[in-house]
Amino acid sequence: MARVFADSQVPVMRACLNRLIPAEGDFPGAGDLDLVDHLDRVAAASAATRRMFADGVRAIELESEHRHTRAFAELDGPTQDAVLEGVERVHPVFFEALVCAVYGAYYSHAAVIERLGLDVRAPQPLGHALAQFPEAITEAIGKRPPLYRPA
Amino acid sequence: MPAVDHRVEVLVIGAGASGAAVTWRLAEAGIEVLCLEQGGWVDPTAYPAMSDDWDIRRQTDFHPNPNIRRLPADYPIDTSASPIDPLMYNAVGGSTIHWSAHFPRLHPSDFRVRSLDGVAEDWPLSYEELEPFYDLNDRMMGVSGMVGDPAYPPKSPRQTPPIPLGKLGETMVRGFEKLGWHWWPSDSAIVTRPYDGRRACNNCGPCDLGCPIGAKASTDVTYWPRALRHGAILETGARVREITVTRSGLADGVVYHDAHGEVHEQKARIVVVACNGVGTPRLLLNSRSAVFPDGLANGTGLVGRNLMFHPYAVVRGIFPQRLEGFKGPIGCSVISQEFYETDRARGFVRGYSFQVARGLSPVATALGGISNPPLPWGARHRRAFDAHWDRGIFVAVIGDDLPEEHNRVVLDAELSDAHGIPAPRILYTLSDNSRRLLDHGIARAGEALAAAGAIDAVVTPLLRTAGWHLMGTATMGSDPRRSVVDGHGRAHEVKNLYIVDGSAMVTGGAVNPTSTIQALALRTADHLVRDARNL
Repeated sequence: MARVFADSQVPVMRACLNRLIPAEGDFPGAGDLDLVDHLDRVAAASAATRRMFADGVRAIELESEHRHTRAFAELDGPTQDAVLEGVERVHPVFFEALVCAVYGAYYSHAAVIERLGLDVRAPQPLGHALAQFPEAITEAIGKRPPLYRPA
Repeated sequence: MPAVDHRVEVLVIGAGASGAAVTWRLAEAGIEVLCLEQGGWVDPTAYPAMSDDWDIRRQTDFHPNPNIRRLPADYPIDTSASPIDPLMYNAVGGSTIHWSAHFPRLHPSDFRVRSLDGVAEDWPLSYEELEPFYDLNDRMMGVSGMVGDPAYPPKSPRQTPPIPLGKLGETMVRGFEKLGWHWWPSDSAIVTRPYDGRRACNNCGPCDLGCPIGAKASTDVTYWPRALRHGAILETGARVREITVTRSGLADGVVYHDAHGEVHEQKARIVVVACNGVGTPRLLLNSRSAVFPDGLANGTGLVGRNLMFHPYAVVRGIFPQRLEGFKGPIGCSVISQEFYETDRARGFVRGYSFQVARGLSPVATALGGISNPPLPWGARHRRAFDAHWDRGIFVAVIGDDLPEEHNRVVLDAELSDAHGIPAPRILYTLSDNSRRLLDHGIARAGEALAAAGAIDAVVTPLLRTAGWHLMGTATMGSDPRRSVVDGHGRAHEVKNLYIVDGSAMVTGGAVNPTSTIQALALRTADHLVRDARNL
């Protein structure tokens, strides 16, 4: 299956991702992680999503070039944000899908999981320790009269 | 090739919570039973919880909404006229594959709402009559919990101790205690010690993504292995198109598509429908004949009507401290039933439960979970994420949803599934009583969260992604003019047709319905074992 995003669009995507989730403190920007391949797979899920993502990214490029006469990746941060806000207004379905896909990829990336203080692993097979339930804490509530109505 | 080439004694349609229970009980009694299931077996080792991309798959192939998931076993549902989306999973085990296994029972008063509160209809059976089947089902599923809950009549001992509260649950309990309100560790169909050959829960968290260790009671690991050992036959990938009838109006089998799309006829002496509160009316309405021109067992026009969902409101409290909410079964920690029973001074009849769920995963936090929009992007994103990540407690207000005939499942005029079978369309409006009830619950949940130490709260007045509980579309009752099936689930109009899923529920109560649905299925099975040969 052909890629949705052309090689020439990778810089646009990276710059876009870094505006959606900018680097801050120890946390990398979304564009600094290798997420474009993942996004390409999300976009390639169906013919409809391929078209939506391809058109959406093209809209980011066109908005930059027409309104600011420069490639998106070459614009300064606030101008990039303005471009993205414009695309969000005109193509809300694409933009929400893009944001959700970026959030999904970013917050499941090992580099981010580590910085959240979590172990980088699937929930299974290790799970987490299962403590014993302290039954004594129900003592007071267990002494209440019946709350149910007899039928 | 079909699995069976002769008329079977009992044909069950659907291998989920209730279909599994009824099949097991019949097979155990030595009755020949064939079950047709449109989905397949789900390999537990392939559950998302085993893979690195687990946190994304909730948005894709494990999304609870079939309209988003769109697996081959799924069928589309038109939800454009409903504020709540029906959720389900189509496979052996049905929606118990992705459920959170919160396992409360109805209250005794739920069976007598007309007598006690003057609304809806009384059930044609009582809590006491159903109790032995609740107990049997608990033993089959394996329930963690604790006796002594003052919100219920005394129960038999739970199979394993309660799921631990964790920091999140302990925090919420402090809020309930401060207000003097009821709370109790949730009955959960998740075993906390090895039970019946199953491993104990290891507190991993995302039960909704399938339980690869079998601690959660999905019926593919509880009922089905036993049913198959007793000789039940299960054909997967078999989507039933219609139930066929004789000229005298008895059900005599089904027409179904096999996994390759080929059409087969399967004859049966008794047909049991277990396709959930949306799938069952869809199938009955699609089963039109000269005897039943408006759909099978639908002479009253009641098939599909009285759809109940349990409307949910959510209040998510935000706390200053980390809560370790990612640890522990996602839907099970604490239940409060302080406001379950009717008090007319509150301005509504019936009541609600609070179900306290665990925290969100990192991806779910960013996406707003099931109750909120995604967090903002851009410069505000990181601060918003830090404020929410592992600092939220999700209190769901589960309202009693009373039956109303205009809330219904109908056949869609245009939409159909991969086999061309007309798809269901949902028509649902929230009642004024439900709105007042939810608003009361939102205010009380906010008080409880504040008492627990929340510094902020985000309210979702009506949760769209909340159609887990599909009930009431072929209700049971003693009066054939006002109900579709009798107290044993037998169709008034078709004496060898039974309905055992949530469709038969008369009212919804204010708790998750699976334990009740399965208990009803076991009761129907007992009736069949006793009486089937006399039909």
